[in-house]
Amino acid sequence: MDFASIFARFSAIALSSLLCAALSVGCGRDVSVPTANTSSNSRVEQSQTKPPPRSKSSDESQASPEHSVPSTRVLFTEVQEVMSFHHVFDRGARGALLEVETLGGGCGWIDYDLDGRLDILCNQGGDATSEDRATQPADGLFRNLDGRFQRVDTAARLDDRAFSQAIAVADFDNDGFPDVHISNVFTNTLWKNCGDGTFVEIAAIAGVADSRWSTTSAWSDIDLDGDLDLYVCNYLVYDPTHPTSCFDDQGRVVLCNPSKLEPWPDACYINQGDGTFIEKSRELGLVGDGSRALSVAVADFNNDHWPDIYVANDTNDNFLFINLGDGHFEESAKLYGCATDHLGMPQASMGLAINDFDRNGFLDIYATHYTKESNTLYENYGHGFQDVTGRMGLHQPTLAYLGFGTVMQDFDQNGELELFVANGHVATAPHQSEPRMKPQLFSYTGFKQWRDISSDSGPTFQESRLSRGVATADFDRDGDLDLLVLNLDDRAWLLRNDSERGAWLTLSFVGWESNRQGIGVRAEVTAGDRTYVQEVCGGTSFAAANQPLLAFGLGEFRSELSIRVLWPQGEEQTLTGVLPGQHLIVRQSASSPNSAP
Amino acid sequence: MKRTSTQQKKPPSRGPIASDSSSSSSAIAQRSPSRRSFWIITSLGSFLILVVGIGLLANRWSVGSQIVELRRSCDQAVRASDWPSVERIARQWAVLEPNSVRPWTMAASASRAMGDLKGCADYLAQLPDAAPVEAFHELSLLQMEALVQPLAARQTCERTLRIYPGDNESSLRLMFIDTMLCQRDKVSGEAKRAIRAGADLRATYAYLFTANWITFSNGAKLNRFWLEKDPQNEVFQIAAVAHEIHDRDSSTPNAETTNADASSFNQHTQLYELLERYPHSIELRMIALSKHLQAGQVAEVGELLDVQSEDFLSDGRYWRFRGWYLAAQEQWPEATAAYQRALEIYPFDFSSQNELAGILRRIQGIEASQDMQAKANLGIELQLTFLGAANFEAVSQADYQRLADYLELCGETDFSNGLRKHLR
Repeated sequence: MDFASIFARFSAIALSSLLCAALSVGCGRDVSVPTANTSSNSRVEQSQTKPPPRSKSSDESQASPEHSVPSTRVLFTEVQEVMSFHHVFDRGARGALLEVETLGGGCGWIDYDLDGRLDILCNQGGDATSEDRATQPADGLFRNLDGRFQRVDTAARLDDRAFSQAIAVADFDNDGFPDVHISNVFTNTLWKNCGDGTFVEIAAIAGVADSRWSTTSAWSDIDLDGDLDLYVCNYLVYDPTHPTSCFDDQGRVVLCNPSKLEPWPDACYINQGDGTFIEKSRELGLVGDGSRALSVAVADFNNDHWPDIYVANDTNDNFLFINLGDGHFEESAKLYGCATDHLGMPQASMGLAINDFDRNGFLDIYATHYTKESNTLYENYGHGFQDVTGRMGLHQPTLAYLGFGTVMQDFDQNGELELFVANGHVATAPHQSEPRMKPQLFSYTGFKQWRDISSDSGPTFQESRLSRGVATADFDRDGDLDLLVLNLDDRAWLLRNDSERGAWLTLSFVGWESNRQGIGVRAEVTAGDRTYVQEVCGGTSFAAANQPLLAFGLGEFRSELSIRVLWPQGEEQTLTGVLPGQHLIVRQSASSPNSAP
Repeated sequence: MKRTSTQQKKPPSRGPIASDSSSSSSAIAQRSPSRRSFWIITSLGSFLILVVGIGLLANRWSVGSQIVELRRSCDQAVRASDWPSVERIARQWAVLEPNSVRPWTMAASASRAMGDLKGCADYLAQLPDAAPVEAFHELSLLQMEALVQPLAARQTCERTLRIYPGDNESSLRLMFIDTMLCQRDKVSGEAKRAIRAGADLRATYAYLFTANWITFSNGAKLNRFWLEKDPQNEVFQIAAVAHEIHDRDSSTPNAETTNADASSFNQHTQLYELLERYPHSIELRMIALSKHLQAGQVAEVGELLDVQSEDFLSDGRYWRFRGWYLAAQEQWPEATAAYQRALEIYPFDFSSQNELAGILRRIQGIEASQDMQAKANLGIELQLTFLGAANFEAVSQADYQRLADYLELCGETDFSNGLRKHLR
């Protein structure tokens, strides 16, 4: 099939999907009705979901809008069994101790068939030394049949067998159907959603078929031209079919220290708007010393309305590429105070969680690290970051853990955020087995302290695994965020959020001038004297694709809310009189100015 | 009675006797016994002096002869490789000539040849100050390595430097031992002294720069060994804690010491037991402060800072910890002042620079922090360079050049120029 015919096919699908999306809330989603006063020409639709399980009467809450923290409790329940979801990442450990066995894959949420129910996509490994990739297992696509999941990757023709590492989901061609980028140890793939329940692989045609060892990738409109660009983290120069060997002092084979292997620089593919991309990392200034990137988050960290890029590097300083707004970025992590820990020492960073835990309107960063290094919390105070890990009680609890995927969300919706961290060591020598580790959950008290609440949040937190990717979504559509956790050589966890929780509001977005899924949209929800700021970030966590959804916990606040939505290209929408306890789909006005801020 | 008669017999002075001799025979008769006594006593005294003198001369001649003989015998024994005789003879020789270098070195050589290294060191320790510096080097090396007596080696180095202030080998050895023993204030003190005394080498500046934080990779093992030999020793006990904490906290990517139950790496009990036992120890207090700071335990840091002594307050690290403590409470001006004080005392403390840059960024904005941050960045880069090197000699000329630049950037022009002399 030539490019022109593929493009024509895409265009047709795009048109049909746009019509579908415009007519109803996402092809089969609950009928939506306007419930809020809005300024600008945007449309807001409400998707009513079941109320929170424990709440005061509406009269009570209306009468008391103060922000007392309700007595909530975070609780996750494993439902992979009852939901018939079964996926085991085979990391291919055959005794050779390959570097690629250590990272393993990610997972993600995707409503690929636009039926309103989120489906699951999980990476798969296999034998990394096999020359015949066709004999290796494929990534798993699991369709949500509202009560159970069914594996459908064969039917969907999503057939990636290249020892996968990470998933990034987004509608890069704005046709309404989410597409998939898969980072691989071998050549990366780009799966175009055909809109008919199938995918087609177009990485080579699109210009993103990179054969370097890639890890987390992120979709984001970094040049604010309305379509999504792709940032791909690249890791080490390493060929598992001809592996580099490393030895300890006694001459025994050990896992190579990543710092001893050459790094690959990252890639940034700029969407040309015609289904193709051009790699422009160097031209844009997205180059730093060292690299060895494992995760990336694209968000506006300095509130100048331009998306910046934060990169978590293994053993090297992390990068913060500040978007100068003129088509260039400047690596400024050291200057901004988020390259290293508070002592100035680089850490082995793995995953990233982004949110505004201190509610100062600036997005903070939480990075997971190797054992003996604590995970690090960088508080963003507007014109820079400060490592506040120790003084906020987060140093000691993570010292003995090796963290990967992480998310910072308000799971119990009490108005304060929690941190979920997936842990699991890596094997460093053939004679050693890698310690499995329990996941951890921390809760922000609101008073400059976090506390470990793992032991009280469900039996999963007593189970040790080699966990890697973590992705959030409200897959059961009850207004809170659930978790998907990929484990190496063990069944993935599907963790339903059964928390006793406070009032809530969830927002998703449909862009018109901006990208279709609203990646990069920032929303400020004002509840009385409190304002919560969140952004639909590109990337984050580790190797995972979150549902592009903003979930706000409002505690006891059950009065009217006001919402300010800032679209990536500068359009603002204000919604007032919004009541908590609903999911709103905010649609961008078709007549919004197509101008950069 | 006797006294009276003596007085009666007391001879007159020589003058009157001479003047009266022709005038009165009775007077002569009266004075003769006194004069005789005088002459007798004088003669006896002179004789005794003569005898003693002759004796002494004879003895000296005899000792000299013995020494000559012993030296000759010793040389003969050496030539015959008869080490027991060499030692025996040299020991006899040393008794006769304790301030001479040679018998001690001969005895030491003999002991060494017989494999008695302790004996060798014992003899070398008897060396007079006039001994050549190489003999002291040999002694300190022996004490440090073969005899596992780092504290004795340390004393030898100190003694050597009192005698030869410009001896760079002893200076380096002293700094090495103190680094191993985590006696950080002593390392920087010696580095500065050596530079002032002209005993500096390139590595002296490396010690100066790394004094507050470097830990050698074999430090823990070596100190454990020393501690086993001398378990009650305060210095070894403190160093053991320092090494243990460092080992557990260090971020070696290939380290495989953790377990799934995440046992806490808390040496709290051991640390505080030692603090109770050695409350005067600045190093111990610094270790505890560092530990609590890492863990973000603000109250504990405050408590440790409350115990103030002159030594403590004159240590730049105290002010760095104080800066952190104040910053944790968002007392920005006070924290700024504390970090500035830390940098006055120890201008190349990149940790203080880094923290201070963070405060400047927070209270004044990014631009205000740029210079301080750039300074900190260079210091941190150099730290990683030095940590990554096998030893100080393995650090490249270019990196020493960067160190000189950094020292200059920190306002330490003398140190910077001093280092540059070694880079030409």
